[in-house]
Parts: sequence; structure tokens; C-alpha cells
Amino acid sequence: MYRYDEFDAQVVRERVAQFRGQVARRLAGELSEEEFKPLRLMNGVYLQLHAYMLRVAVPYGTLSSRQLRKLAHIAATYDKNYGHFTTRQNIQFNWPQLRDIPDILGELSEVEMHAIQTSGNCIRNVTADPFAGAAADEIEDPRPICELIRQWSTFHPEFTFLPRKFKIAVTGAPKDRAAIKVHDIGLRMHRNAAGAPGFEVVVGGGQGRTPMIGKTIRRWLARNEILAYLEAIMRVYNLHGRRDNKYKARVKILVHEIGAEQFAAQVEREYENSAGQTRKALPDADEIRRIARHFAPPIGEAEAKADDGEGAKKLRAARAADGGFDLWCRASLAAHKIPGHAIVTVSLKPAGGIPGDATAEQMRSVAGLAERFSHGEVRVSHEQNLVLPWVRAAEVHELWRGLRDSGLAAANAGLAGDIICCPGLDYCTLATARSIPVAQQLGVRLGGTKRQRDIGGLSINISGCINACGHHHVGNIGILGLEKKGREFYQITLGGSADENAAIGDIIGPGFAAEEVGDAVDMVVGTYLKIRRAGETFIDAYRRVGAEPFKEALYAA
Amino acid sequence: MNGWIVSANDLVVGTVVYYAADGWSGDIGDAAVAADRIAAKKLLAASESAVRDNRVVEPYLVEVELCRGKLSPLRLREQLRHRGPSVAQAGG
Ligand code: SF4
Repeated sequence: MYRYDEFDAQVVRERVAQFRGQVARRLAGELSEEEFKPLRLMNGVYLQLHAYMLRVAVPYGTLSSRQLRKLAHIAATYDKNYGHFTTRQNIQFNWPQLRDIPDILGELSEVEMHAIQTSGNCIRNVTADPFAGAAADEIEDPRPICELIRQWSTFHPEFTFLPRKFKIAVTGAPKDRAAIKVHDIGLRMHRNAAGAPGFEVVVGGGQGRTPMIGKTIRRWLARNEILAYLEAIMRVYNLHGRRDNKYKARVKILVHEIGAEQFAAQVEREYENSAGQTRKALPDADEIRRIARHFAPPIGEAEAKADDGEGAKKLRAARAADGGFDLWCRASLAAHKIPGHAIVTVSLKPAGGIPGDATAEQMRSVAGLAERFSHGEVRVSHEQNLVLPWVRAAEVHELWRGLRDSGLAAANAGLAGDIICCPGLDYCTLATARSIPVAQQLGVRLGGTKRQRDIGGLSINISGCINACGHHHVGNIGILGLEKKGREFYQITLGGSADENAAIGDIIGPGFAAEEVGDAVDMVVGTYLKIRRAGETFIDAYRRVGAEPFKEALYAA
Repeated sequence: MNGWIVSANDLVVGTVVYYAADGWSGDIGDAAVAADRIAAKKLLAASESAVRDNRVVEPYLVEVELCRGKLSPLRLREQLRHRGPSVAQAGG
């Protein structure tokens, strides 16, 4: 894993000391709320409905066991014993007291963590494929590039006051597990005609009130050009992005208004003009290699080569002998690039639970299991689950037992029970309706073992307002909570998708009252089960038949 | 009967508080109630001195219903602020 150098460590330490002073001045009345608010937001501190909320960055979703233990400690010491993993691979604490936050940030800095770039109109914490470095289909681990972007973007003076927040996601695999097409910039690694790996650059994707799929502005870009090119994009955005209207300030609006071709032309021009000044200063191949060494798989080549298939055999035997374990394996295991290993998704979606929440004990338990079975490494996924990326096939059964003992063995990853959901009106000050109770209700209705296996791959995403933190626009079934005449009601979209075939869901018709939404989703799922052809997932069937049969089922009666 | 009260968040701790005759209280039952819009404006202005005293953050008016001696906010958002999240917390 990447280790901060002395420079990083010093920057974070100084930032904590600075914020400690700012909090002290606020509490002493030397700073007004108006003066303090931008300062606290730059340190990840929001004021929500019931309390302050602290959002901690998990750069590109990678955590060590040591870091996860620290998060557990913070949850237990300063909060109500739990944390909430978000769709941006971060963690949020819902109940910290302002007077404690400098101490919390101090504790985080001990494990190279912080809350920088989790708020404000800056380049936010960069996100990545949670299977990065381990996925069988991957061309290269995208995290060295993510780390470069982190170093470049942190406190970049030119990009600290952008028109709006700016989100970058990176994948090194053809299967998009990082939702790159709904980010301000998405980078997808692929090989050019000569076989060299580089990035397709996608710009102007996003959700919120104007959802858009990003447009490709560069088919292939060499890795060592990436920062200069990103800088060119940021400059065009900084210059032309609208600052007069918050709702039109994201880069997606600029790309939409001037067109992707025109935007690309401006970026290329800026890139050529600035190249002489900036390209030289950017990391050369040696520096990229230096960073990449930190991300080398923790499994030695000798071990990888020595795989004799015994581990896989043992895993097959355990699956054959234990039906419950087999079901969990079907949902939770993904193919690994190193023979004899598996990537394991740890679902944070127990039926009826709160998506993405984990208690301090569960965090400690995952940290311990990661140490025993995954070289001390954990990932956070944008689906609000955890991932253990380096598990020996021979040890998967034992790992599962450990997870089961901690209430973390829900066999629903990628299935109907794996609901993605923002905090909604139970916590969030911007919300128009609750989202968690809807997720809980649907988790119970659709998440039965047999039912969800029967339904197959399905993403259900719920947001408590149009800001779309629950990514409802790209859920196969998306649910948006709104308020109408003082009551909660829910708009349903169908056909969204966050992967390499990203699509924005279609609004299916008038919304549903809170007490109707469960039945409505059931009806949608039931319609799919009726019309599907052999082997067709929900999204396949929807793409074949369109919205009509679903509309009819929902509204014809 | 409907009326208005003033709510805010405690500066140090962040919890929900209500403006009462003798300062700020975590108990909605203690809240000072304004019967009409003019009185509500005055109440809000009075509460703002507490912002200068550094006790609370961003006070604002909340419409409430007084029913059998109990104050109850009209909007769901405020009901949730008053009662806390409607869902059990993982760590609880
Ligand atoms: S989608 Fe809205 S309600 Fe949900 S977390 Fe984001 S801002 Fe809050």
C-alpha cells in the first residue's frame, strides 16, 4: 500500500493543528459561523439534522487493517459506535462533537488519514475500482495513477475554488466497477493499437438534478501525460464553468452546452499551449514506477506460480458440502488475477439493516480477518460494501465463518438485497424524504435467500433528494424520495446502469406514497420475472422490452 | 392551535436545541411559542442574541402545532430533528 512520505505527513499534521486553532477560535467566539463554515467544510465537517457529521476520505477506496481499526476506535470513542460507508468510498461519522473533531483528525493523521477533499468546490477524493490490483480482467492497477492524482490535486492552488465540486474516478479494467461514466472525469484504461496501456478520458458525466453520461474527449492518452491533460481540462472548466448559478456550475453543463467536440478542442488547445510549461514538471515513467511499487500485489510471484490447484479444490469441496456457504460464494467471490486466490465482497447490507453501516466491532472484526486472510488490506466499494482483495481460495471457508460470526455474511452482493442508499431525511439536512426505511423494507421483501437468487443480478439505488448521493439515476431500479404537500413520495426510474454500459434510468410515471413504494417495486420485479427470457437479467430484459410492460403493470389498474 | 418556535443546533455538541424563556433547551416542551408571524419574527430576533453569545448555530423558525399541551412540529424534517432518526442505529 502507498505510504505517505514525510511531506504528506507534515501537510496533514499542520492541517490538523490549523483546524484545532480554528475550532478554538470558533468556540471562543472569535470566528462567526459564516467565517467558520467554509473552514470546517474544507475539513470534512458538516452540520446535519441532529449533529455534526465528519466525512473521512478513503483515497481510491483502499484501507489497511490498521486504518480500519482506527476508524473503529473513532466510532467507539467519539461517536455512537458505528460509521457509514458512502457511495464515494468514504466513511461518515454521524455524531461527533465539534470540540472533539480536532482530536479525531489528530488520531486519523496517525494512520495517514484525513478529511481533506471530502467537501467544497475542489477536486474531491479520487475513487477507483474496489477490485483494483486483484481483478482477473484488469489491464493494470489504476491506483498508482489515482495516487498521482491525489498528490497533484491536494491543495492545488489553481483548483481550490472551482465553480463546483469535481469528482474523478479511475478503472484499470474493461468491466467498470467505478461508475466512471457518471463522474466529472472518468478514466478507463485500455490498450492502443500498439498494445500500450493508456486511458480513455470521459468528461461531463454526473448525477444530481441534471444526470448525464460522460462523453469521451480523448480515446487514448499515455499514462505519463495524464496530469498535464487533467490540468488542461481543469483550466478550461475553471475558465468557462458557470459561477453565477450553482445548478449549472458542474462541468457536465459546460460540456453539454458547448458540445463535447468543442470542449475537447479547447482542452487540446490548452494542453498544447501549457504542455511546454507543465509536461516537463510531471512525473516521468520512473516516478510512476516508484509509486506503482507501493501497490505491487502482496502475493509473491513464487507463491502465485506455486499454485497447484489444491486451494480451488478445497474451496469446491467446501461449497459442495455446505449449501449456505455455496450461496454466499456465488454472490461474494470474484475472479482473481493470481491463481489460487479470490476477491471477496463483504456485504454491509443485512436484510432490514442500514446499507453501508458498520459497527465498531464489525470494523474491528473485518480488520482482523483482513490481517489473517487478505494481507491486511480492505477496500470500500461505491456499492457501500467492503472487499477483501487477496484471499487464498483454500481459506475462503474459514474467512466466511469469521464473517458469519460478526453478522457480516449476507449472501447478497450484486443481488436485490444489496441496496445502495444515502442517509436521506433520517440524517441529512438537504433531504426531501427518508431513504433508509425504504431500503430496509425492500431488503426484507426482496432479500429472502430464494427470492433474490431467483431475481438474479439487480441494482436498487435510493436517494433522499435530487442530489442523488444514492446514485438512483443509475440503479436498474432507482428510487428518489421527494416531498409533496408535506408528505414523502417516491419517484421510480427504471433501466439505469452504472457500469461500462452506463445509462440514466427513465422516470416510469407518477410517484408513489411511502406506503405504496414497496408494492410498486415488487410489481416491477414481478413484471420482470414474468417477461424475462432464459438467462436475462433485469437490465437485459428492460433493454429488450422498454418501459411499457412495467408502466402497464404499475398504472393500468 | 399552530404557532412558531425557534430551533438551532448547539454550537459545541451539534445537538438540536429550542429557544426557551430562559435560554436554550434540548426539550421541545420548554420552547417559547409565538402565536403569530409578527411575534415569531420577534422571537427569532431575540434568539439571535444567543448566536452572538456563541451558544448555537443558525437558528430558524419552526411551525408547530399545540395539541393537548404538547408541541409537535408540522414538517416531517422537524419531527425527525425532534425525535431523532426514525431508524435504529447500527451501534445502538
Ligand atoms: S441524496 Fe440528498 S438526502 Fe441523500 S445524502 Fe445526498 S444530499 Fe442527503
